[in-house]
Amino acid sequence: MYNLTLNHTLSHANRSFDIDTPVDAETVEYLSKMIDDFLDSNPIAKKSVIQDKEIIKKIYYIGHWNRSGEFNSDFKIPQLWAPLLIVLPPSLLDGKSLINLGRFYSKLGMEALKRGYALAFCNSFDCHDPRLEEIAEYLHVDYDLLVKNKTDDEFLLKTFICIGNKLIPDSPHNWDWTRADAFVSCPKLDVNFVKDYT
Amino acid sequence: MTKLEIISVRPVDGIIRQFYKVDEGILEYIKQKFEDTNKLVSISSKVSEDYSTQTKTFLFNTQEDYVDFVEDKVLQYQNVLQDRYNTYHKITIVTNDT
Repeated sequence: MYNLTLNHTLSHANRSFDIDTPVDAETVEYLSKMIDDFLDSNPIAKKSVIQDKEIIKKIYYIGHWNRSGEFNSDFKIPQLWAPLLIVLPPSLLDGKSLINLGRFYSKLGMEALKRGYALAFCNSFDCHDPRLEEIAEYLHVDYDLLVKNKTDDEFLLKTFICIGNKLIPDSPHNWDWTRADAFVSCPKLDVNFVKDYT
Repeated sequence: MTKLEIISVRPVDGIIRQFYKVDEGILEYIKQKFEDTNKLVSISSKVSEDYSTQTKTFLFNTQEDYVDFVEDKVLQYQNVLQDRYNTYHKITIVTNDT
């Protein structure tokens, strides 16, 4: 049955997770098996299910995309600091494969929500940061090849699913623990933005 | 000893604003790779009373340690981010090494 409430929740990123409370083992196993079953019949992506806090910290530090220079370097993407990160880097980049993968990401997200966890997706990832070399294996990236071939405008197609309990139960989805405030909306509809894009 | 001094100057507009700062991961990286190995002897930072000028001073044990620091690829990328931030916020920068 189509669940409008879950679907609505899926569309809003939860920004603050309780990093110290792991996702229960049965859920991790269930999600992992979902991924295996999907990739067995659709070999279009690789799989990383990450629960190691030290690895998550490394990912969190380069989860930043700030081309304009507006924000300082410590402006991070708060939802990457979650106890469970899943990333399925696509190995095929044709439209049909990417659509299938996107739909599967939604299924995974819905399953996590059904089990009572909070959820966010995250695409903000600075693939130019040399610290990426340390986590290349989790992204299924050949780092040396990436450095050799990348252009300034290139970005990696690595969507993370961030899963865990909310840091503060019943808090708004956009509560940002790094700034103790609501997460900055994007795009910012200030005068300069309107001038630039109209 | 080799000294690296980075002076950042921003327009005075009566509002206290940040200068560029690296994230905690970079601070840990500097500590492990340069401070714990005694390559980097000290770091200091001071801001002028009108908040327009920040002076950061790095003191290295040897000239080779200094070269290792400025040629480190992880830290060099921070320069790219810093340049981007400074351009956006109209901050100019002067670097001295002695």
